[in-house]
Amino acid sequence: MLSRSAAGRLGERLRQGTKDPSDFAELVVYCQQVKLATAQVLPIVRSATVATAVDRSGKSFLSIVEKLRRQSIRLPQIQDIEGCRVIVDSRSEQDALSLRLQALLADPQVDDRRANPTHGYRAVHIVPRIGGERYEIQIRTKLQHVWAQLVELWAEKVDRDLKYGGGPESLAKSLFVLSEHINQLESCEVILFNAYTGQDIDDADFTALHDSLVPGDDSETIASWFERLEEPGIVPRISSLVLKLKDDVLRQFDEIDRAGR
Amino acid sequence: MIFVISYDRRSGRAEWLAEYPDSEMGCAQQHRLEVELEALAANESPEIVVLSAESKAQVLKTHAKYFGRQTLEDSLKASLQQARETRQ
Repeated sequence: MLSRSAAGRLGERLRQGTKDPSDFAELVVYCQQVKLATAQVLPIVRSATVATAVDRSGKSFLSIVEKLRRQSIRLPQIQDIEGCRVIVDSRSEQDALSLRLQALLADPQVDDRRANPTHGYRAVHIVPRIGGERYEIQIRTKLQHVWAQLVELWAEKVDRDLKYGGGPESLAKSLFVLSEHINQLESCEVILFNAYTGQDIDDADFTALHDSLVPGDDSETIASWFERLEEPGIVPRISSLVLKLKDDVLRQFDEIDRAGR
Repeated sequence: MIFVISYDRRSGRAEWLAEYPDSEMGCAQQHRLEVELEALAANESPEIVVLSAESKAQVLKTHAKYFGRQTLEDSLKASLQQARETRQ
């Protein structure tokens, strides 16, 4: 059993580039310790969704060392040593699963990176804390996942810094714009879904939709929009906006594909 | 099932090293340590991951990269093709 302070010291040695096999053996012990403490989480995630949930039992040593070097954090502060990834069809499903998991898990920290993306990366991360250890559940929509994979691909082919906001400027910008388009598209889809099912509309979704329909005009409120959703022609207008955004997203994918050839 | 996978970022090649039943996580982690130490001795730095899923097909959905870069590219193209077909 490795104490938190011993894990902190191990992290420091890893950061400094230790090649001592006993340090790596200790890292495996630490990863197993986190795994044991958080073993109850994955069955809960799998019981909460029909979507695929794949568990990563121990972040690769390479990724741990890179993270320690990239960020000024200690080993026990890394929250994704253990974790899983769930891919859902839509933002509505992402919201529903996120709420279900928050109700089922102990002390869940919610990291919603849709409104506040990290270098364009969007997803919802739920991080419960069990016995002092954390487990990161990544919930991505299909489109958010495609974007994340695209960045992973270009990061390896062109420049790893693309994952962290760096890399060739034009490619980084295209990826960022694509992420924005995907967000707009998904926000609009949520609004359509909620309009049809009579559910509340979130502030951020409303803003994204409104900015797409009436750029630069922030005078309307959600309440007035709710009324307008009753007007004939509004829902079809949003629907056609969704189609336009889909085209934008696909075109952006093509541009990035061409840029990388 | 538990899968032990080695992925080389430079070449984009993935190697599926072993499969273990869910009850043998300890063996999988021991295997991972051995491979990590071998790589360390050889001055190589692959990503060694241990993934747990009901099938390889599930891993393909969530972590396509660990099937190799070409599979990741193919998977992305398939997703976009699907999006185009849905659009039409």
